[in-house]
Amino acid sequence: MGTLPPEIVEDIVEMLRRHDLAMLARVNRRFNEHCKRIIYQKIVLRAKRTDPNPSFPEPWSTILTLGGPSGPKYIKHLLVLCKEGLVFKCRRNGSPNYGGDVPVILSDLTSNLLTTLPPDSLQTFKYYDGCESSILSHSILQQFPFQSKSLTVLDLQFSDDRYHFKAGERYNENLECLLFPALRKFTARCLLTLRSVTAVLHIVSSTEALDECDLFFISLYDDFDGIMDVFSVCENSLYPCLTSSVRRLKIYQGTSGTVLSSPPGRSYAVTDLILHNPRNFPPLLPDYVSEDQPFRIRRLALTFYSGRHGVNWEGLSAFLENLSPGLESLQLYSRRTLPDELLDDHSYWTRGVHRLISKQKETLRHLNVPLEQSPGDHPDWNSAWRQAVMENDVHLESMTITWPISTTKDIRWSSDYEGRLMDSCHVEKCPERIKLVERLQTIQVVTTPNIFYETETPGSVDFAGSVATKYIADCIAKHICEMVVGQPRARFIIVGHEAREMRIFSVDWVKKDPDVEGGRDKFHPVVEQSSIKQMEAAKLGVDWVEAALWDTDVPPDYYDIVTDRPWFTAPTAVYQFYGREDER
Amino acid sequence: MSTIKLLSSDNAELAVDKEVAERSILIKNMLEDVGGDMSDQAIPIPNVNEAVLRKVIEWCEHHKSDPPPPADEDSDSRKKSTDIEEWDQKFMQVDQEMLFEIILAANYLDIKPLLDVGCKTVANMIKGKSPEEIRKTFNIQNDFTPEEEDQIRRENEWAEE
Repeated sequence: MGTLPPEIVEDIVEMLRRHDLAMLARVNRRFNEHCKRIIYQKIVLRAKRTDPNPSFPEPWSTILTLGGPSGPKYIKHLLVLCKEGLVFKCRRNGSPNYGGDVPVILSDLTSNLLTTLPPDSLQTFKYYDGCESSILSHSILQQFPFQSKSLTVLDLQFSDDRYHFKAGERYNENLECLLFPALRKFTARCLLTLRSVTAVLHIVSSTEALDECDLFFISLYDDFDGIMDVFSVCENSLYPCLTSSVRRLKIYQGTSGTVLSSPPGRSYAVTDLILHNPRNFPPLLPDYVSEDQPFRIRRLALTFYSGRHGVNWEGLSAFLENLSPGLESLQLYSRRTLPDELLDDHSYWTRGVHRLISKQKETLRHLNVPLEQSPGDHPDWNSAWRQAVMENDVHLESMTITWPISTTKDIRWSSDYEGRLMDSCHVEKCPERIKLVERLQTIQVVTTPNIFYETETPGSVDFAGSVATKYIADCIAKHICEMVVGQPRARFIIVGHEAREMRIFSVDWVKKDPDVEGGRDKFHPVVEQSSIKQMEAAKLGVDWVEAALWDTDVPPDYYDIVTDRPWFTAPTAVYQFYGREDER
Repeated sequence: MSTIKLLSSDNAELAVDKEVAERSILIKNMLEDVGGDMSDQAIPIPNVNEAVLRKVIEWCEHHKSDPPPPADEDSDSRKKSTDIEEWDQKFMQVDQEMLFEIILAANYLDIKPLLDVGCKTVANMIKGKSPEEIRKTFNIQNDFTPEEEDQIRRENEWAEE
């Protein structure tokens, strides 16, 4: 066979099944190289068949794979193949049998193979799945390459006795030996239990060079009082753990705004602060306004999604207003109903927004303030922001606004809804928006069409819901087409229940609007009987289409770690338009 | 039916029906380039000796009525199966040197179906064999160190489960 040229040998190798490939790979170096590549390709092909929306890197690089009970078998080999890193993505597929032997297999394979890797070969390590945490405690974490730079553990489930979880009992026994001196980025998603928090904090505190720290604590319990104990542990223990190297801190739940009241004399290096669903916002403390305040934040993101504590709007307003100059990006998302008096022209909020914008106008470039609101409450949350931006001549590069349409669980589909919707969206009645669009490079419009089926048939998609969604999408799309006349690029994203249910988006709109200036044939987004594949196919018709799974019952961030989607994207339909040629 | 002549690397001149010869994309293109008239001049096939060329012509004659492979045929689909027709199996019952020569000739003459049959035959020779048996069958030198061999064996255990 040595006389055959490489391309023919590859043809022959490709005809072999994996067992024979494995044998051939052991024959000599030349065949080993041939077989490795083919094996990798076979794995990728298989993964593509099992994952509707896979994301694969080039061979020999960072990621892979994949779902299904046979996943671990392939993962085992990928451990060898991937030079730079790895993603374990063993999705639970709903099968009651799935969880059974997978943890065991994973545990075994990691025990066997992780130790065989060169110490610096696996610099990024991601562990996905809701498998029992004993895997982490006994195999992966302990054998995690010492020099790895990045660690992601998702669905870490450590039980507290209180909640009767069985997994993770032995974690603490091994905790002492887990040190990650080289870790630069740590991402963890885990249940909000005392043991989980303790485990995470231990990892954080055992690093010296940590740069990014993303922690997402999931609360699954109704026993809120019990959780409060854990909150306290987190608050009291996390921040002292942070080293001065941490520049990006992202915490989903499990904390409160007291993060900002650092211990006296302690200075942090955090410039990017992202807090999801803090259970309250801090009172205004002297630290915030002092010259030596602990945080000099360049990028701030706050989201208030759920929880029993309301937003301390006054504290929030004061905090924002008193941030040191230098803020480059502000993101604020809330599903809270605003108090009636909040958006009055003379309210502390409105005045605070103006002062904030005025103070930060030199540096502020990204303002994303989508607010999900109820009809009739405060239909124009945006006005305070818009006016402040306009009056201060802020040169924003992107802005997210909330669409001022009615979305509420209390409203049912009615014949006059469309009329009201169209009225509120009509471009001539919102001239300031046109000005904004002219100045912005990016505009993101957020709405919540899926709210309707919560009133019609909870948990299911019905005809009325479809119609409602379609009409809303139609109206918004049409209006946006009007709004972005002259904007050459469109980016259309569908996120939400609709994407998950797959059938609800029957959007068929605006192929060519002769009323649009010049009758330009700019938009051809036709998404019919949508599925992800069909949406992908629709890429051909529009500049950019994307669909993602989303669930309004969990914070948008829940999927963020997996998809790398911008955390602030609301669990709704998002239409994003780019206004410049070079923005693509 | 017109006949053309092929000149092997060892200067043997073989007459063959044009239709048969045109199973080779290389020859077909050459004939098209010269306007189809090569009746008085042998086409040189410098990479293929007489014995191998006779075998290739034998295969082409047997398959002269086969439909040409689709131009856009996905190469993956060709490689999915190693099943070989009975006649082709018998045709490929030659010594290993001749087998490889046929494969090389098919590759040179651009006769994809014959190349596939040759590759499938080799693939079938590998199937079910241990690494040592494969080495022996194809006279391959093991260039792994013992440590490497052990490492490679562990890397590929997954496929044996």
